[in-house]
Amino acid sequence: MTEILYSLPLWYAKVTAMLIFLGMLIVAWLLPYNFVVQGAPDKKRWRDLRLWATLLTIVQLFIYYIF
Amino acid sequence: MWEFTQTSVHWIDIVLIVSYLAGITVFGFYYKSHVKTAKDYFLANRSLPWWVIGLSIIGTNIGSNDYIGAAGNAYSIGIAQANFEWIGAIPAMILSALVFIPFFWRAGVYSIPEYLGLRYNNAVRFIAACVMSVFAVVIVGVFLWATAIMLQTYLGWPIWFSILVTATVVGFYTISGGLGAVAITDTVQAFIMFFTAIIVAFIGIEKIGGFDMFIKILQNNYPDHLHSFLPANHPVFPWPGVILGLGIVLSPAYWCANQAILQRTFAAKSEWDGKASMMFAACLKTFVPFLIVMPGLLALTLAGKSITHQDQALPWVIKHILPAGISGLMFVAFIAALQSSIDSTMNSTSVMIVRDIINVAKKTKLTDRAQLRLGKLFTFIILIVGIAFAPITAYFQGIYVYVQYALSLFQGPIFALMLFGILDKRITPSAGLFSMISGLAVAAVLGWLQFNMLYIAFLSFVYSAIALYIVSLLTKRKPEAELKNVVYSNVVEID
Repeated sequence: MTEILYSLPLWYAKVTAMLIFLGMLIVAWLLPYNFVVQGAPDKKRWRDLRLWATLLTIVQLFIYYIF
Repeated sequence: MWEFTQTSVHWIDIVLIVSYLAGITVFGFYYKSHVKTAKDYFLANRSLPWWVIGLSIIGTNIGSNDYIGAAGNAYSIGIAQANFEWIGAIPAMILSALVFIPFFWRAGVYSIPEYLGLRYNNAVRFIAACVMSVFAVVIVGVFLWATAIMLQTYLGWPIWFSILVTATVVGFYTISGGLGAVAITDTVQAFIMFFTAIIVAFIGIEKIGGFDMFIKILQNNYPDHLHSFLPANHPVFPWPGVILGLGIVLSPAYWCANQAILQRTFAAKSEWDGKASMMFAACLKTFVPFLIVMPGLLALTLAGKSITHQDQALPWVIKHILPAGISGLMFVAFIAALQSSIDSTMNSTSVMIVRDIINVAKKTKLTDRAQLRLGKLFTFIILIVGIAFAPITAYFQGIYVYVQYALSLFQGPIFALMLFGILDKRITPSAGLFSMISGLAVAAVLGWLQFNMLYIAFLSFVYSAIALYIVSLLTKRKPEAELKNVVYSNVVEID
């Protein structure tokens, strides 16, 4: 088990990290709109927290692509 | 022991530091009048907006151990240290904002153990509160010691004098103002930290000869310091451990189940404010490496490998790079980081001791007045015990690693209970109790066998998850009616 892990190249790590971010984004968009905006004082577009999650994920994918 | 060492600190720096400490103390005195009930003290009367909570979360999250320890690790391993802020935080913060916080807010709980009590039973609540409280007191000691080292190096103050000054200032506004004072001071402190970080990065890069030169030195002399991940056989941060232990267990456990972090989201003025606060904190988190990793890289490019101990990287930057005024500001940011972590830890721990330990042990609910008085008393006691514990920290090498190691011993089992408890109504109270106790034992055995802390977190989480499902097959479920607003499938229906 340890030998298999040691033999994996570093780019596996980057890809895995990026997949985790993408997975979290999918989870966010699977949540119903009403659940995400529950309690918001108005229905403005920016209150949809799934959009915030999308922006965050794009930035992180860029960071892990570079480094 | 009480001897003051002569240092070359500029008077502007001293004025800045003293003004900041005095300002925070005056604010604590002013905020005292806002606290009349236990709900005011523990939850700021559920009045906080999302942006205050978001900044406050970052203030609490960045502690003195981050400033010293993360800068030290960045000096030693490079940008891979930023994983604690990126893959080791942001996915978990999104999960916390969108999946966990809505349940906590709707359930109206004051603490994570209280939620576990609603989902499982009071035994789980009691044990979780005890484990978290012990760790929190240790953390207070670590924070105080880290500050004392800094004050000694920079201002020449004796260790015990430094500990007492910081403890007095933090203790004053935390005990008198409760969570409201904590959240607002944390917000101010987070502003100071970001503002200072930008200036430090600018001055440091200018001193090196510009951003291109900074990158060129790193690329030519320390190319490994520009990789986000370290090899799988790295002794401290192997990448599979970082992904499995940090990314999948430790980080979600911290962001979805850490009382000091989440308590202010319970104090949000609406459910949306609670969720948005964590998403806002995640946006800020993207830039946190500029605060705590950059000083380590600046020290590396300017001093090379001449710094003998990695935890001396940040003090070196303050002493050798920053001009008068800016070094004082950096020092204020450092003190702010300490205070914003210690105040939250003390306030949140007092909640658990009063409501989840004393209340549960007594079996009769304390009056509001008694909770308020005990809350203030235990905040004071936590501070005193933290002061007593502080010198023990000196026996451990690398403050950051030590804190993470302690966390890895209990966060796996607690996170398994939180995650599967929220998602699956088939998990039973008996399974929760068994998995928590045996999961903590498994983590302790793995620690005794000297497993890497990241693997301890992952393996104890996996064990607890399996145990939860096996024991749930053999034991009785909680009635559906008691799980309303506590389990996912029972919450979505109300929308």
